[in-house]
Amino acid sequence: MTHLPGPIFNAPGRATADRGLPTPAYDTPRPGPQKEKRLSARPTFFQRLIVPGLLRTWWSGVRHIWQKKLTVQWPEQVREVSDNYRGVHRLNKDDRGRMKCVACFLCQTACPANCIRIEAGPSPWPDRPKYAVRFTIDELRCVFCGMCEEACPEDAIELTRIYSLVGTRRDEMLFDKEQLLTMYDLTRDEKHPLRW
Amino acid sequence: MSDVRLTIDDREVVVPEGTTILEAARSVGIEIPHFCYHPGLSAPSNCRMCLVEVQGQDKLVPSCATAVADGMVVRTGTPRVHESHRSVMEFYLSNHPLDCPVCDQAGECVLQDYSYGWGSATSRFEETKVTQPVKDVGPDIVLYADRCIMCTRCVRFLREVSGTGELSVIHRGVRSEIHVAGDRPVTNPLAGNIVDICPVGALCSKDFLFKCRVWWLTSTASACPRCARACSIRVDSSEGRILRIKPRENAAVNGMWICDEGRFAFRQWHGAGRLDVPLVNGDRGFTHCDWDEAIALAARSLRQVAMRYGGESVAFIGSPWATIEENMLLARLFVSLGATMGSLWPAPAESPQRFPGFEISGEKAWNVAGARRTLMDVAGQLLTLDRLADEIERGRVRAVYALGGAYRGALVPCDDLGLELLEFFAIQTCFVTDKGLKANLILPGASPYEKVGTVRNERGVLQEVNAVMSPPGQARRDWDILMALAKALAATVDDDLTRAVLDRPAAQWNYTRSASGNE
Repeated sequence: MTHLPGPIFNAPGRATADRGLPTPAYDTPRPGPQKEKRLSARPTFFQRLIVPGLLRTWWSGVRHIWQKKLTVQWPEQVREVSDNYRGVHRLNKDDRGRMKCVACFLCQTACPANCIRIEAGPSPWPDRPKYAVRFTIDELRCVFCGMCEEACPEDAIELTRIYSLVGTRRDEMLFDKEQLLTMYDLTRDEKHPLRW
Repeated sequence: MSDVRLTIDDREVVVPEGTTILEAARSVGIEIPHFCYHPGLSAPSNCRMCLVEVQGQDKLVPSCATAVADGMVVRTGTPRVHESHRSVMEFYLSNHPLDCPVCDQAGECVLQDYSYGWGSATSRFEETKVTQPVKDVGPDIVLYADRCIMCTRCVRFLREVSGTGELSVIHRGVRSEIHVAGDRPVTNPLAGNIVDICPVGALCSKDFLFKCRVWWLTSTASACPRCARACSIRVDSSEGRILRIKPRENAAVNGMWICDEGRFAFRQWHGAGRLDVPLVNGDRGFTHCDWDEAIALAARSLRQVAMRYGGESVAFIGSPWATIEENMLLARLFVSLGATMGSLWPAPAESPQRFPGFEISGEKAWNVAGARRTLMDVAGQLLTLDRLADEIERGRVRAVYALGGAYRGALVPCDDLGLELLEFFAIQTCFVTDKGLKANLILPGASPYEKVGTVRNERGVLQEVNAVMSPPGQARRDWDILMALAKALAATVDDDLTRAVLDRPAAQWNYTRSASGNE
């Protein structure tokens, strides 16, 4: 997939036209000659011949030898993500190393995927009445929309640019408070191009 | 009392003499903002939020304390009134900590709501805000004095309704604060109401503190099972757990308040110890069994006793903790088996508690009147438990089937019944501790918060009860258990009964008169 020109919301008919779906009325047609390729239910006589078919397949492979290589050889080659890429969450700490979160539940309220779960309790510190005793994010459920970040009045939750998120079991992907605070320690020194 | 005709916002309003402007406006759906006014308390008009313009008067008047007069022309939405609202809100917000994200009241806070209407996005206040401590004012109540706006609703409630007066205002002006004497915490049985009437998040319930944000609560209208008054309540739950109980306004039952016993009554049925599987008493004591087995055993035993000794030897015991429908089904089922003897568990009796503005009933079950009347209607007569014990001793009763549903320890009279003389005794109940009962079969029933039905309180008022959650584990609603038993007994439970029971409101039944009024 090549880079989309302009704001993605205005990309003319991209998503729908590529999949051969009918172009919505509000979408402007793509400039340039349009090639209508129709898949009919019954193949033509030429399409049914096996040797031309094999040759066509072979040619589509050979053709790509001279094209630009799109595959990133991960992990040897690290994929560059955009500046505002939204990856794994982190729970920020203040200058005294305490979790910034005050358990206001606004991220949980804003979350459209219902992936955040907080349990509040009386805080051990005098400067706030409550804090999050448990804070769990289901990274498998998360849609990485960043609404939690927007909602947070304390800048306590942020999305890092880390995208390599692996686990072998579903419950490994339930990130608890300690894991999310560790994500902060891992990313605190690197400069984020947009957020911090 | 004669009627007074006045105009509020170009609308003709007719109200009885002596009504205040605020109440008159409310009667036609015009809401005047207010903090200190509460319909159940006196109006000191100290919050200055309810000021309105009255034609012919130079100054704005407090609508909560001004009585209507004939020909009065009131305006609640003029620029002058709005300017007044904005100024008052600026004063309130200048010292308010604005900690809505961590405040339990956020989402149901009057100050928050009015801020959307008349608050300012910026503050002109440059001084340091007065900070006040968090005070522990009672066993269940904590005061965040910072958030207090000095409406004094709590102070007036404790003076006028509970008559205990634990809270008072000390200091003056911006430094005034709600004070509780260290040796006299707010411990009266109506204390929880001051948390409900606090318009801001100053008074919080320790039980509910930090548990849940209010916008996630599901509210269910129900009645309080704790005493025969059966106060109208609103049960707030989240994810199938009851988190708090608040009063619903109902002039015929409880007015605006409930007592703390009722407020925390859900603890009596919740938590550990709830029975969640049917238990059958065999050679090895109580063992788990599945529902089909349990119902079949009950049906077989009851039928056997009825065949061997006659239908009169089967008796039933209704429960004041069960709904009218459940008691009726129980009685109809056993009368159709030939039973003539029925009884009713007595509700635990305590002395009633009277306060200047509220009364707590001494009979500690919600449906005493309803259960008694229903059983009497169907069975014709109702024995006392002593009479039933007599009949058991004389061998005229050989099997008893009982509804329970009581909170822990309320079924104590069971001990003197001579249950060991019976050939079969089955009970639908809630707690594992009821294993102490000498029963052949214990069926796990539902708590009052898990069932649907109708109850009648001591004044004869009928109220709907709604299920907040499902019974735990395999436990079932008592109605469902009785229906399964009826099916197994092939008893003729009339279709019209089932229909009548399921077609609420109960007011349509011929033996009830009115759904909300007194008898």
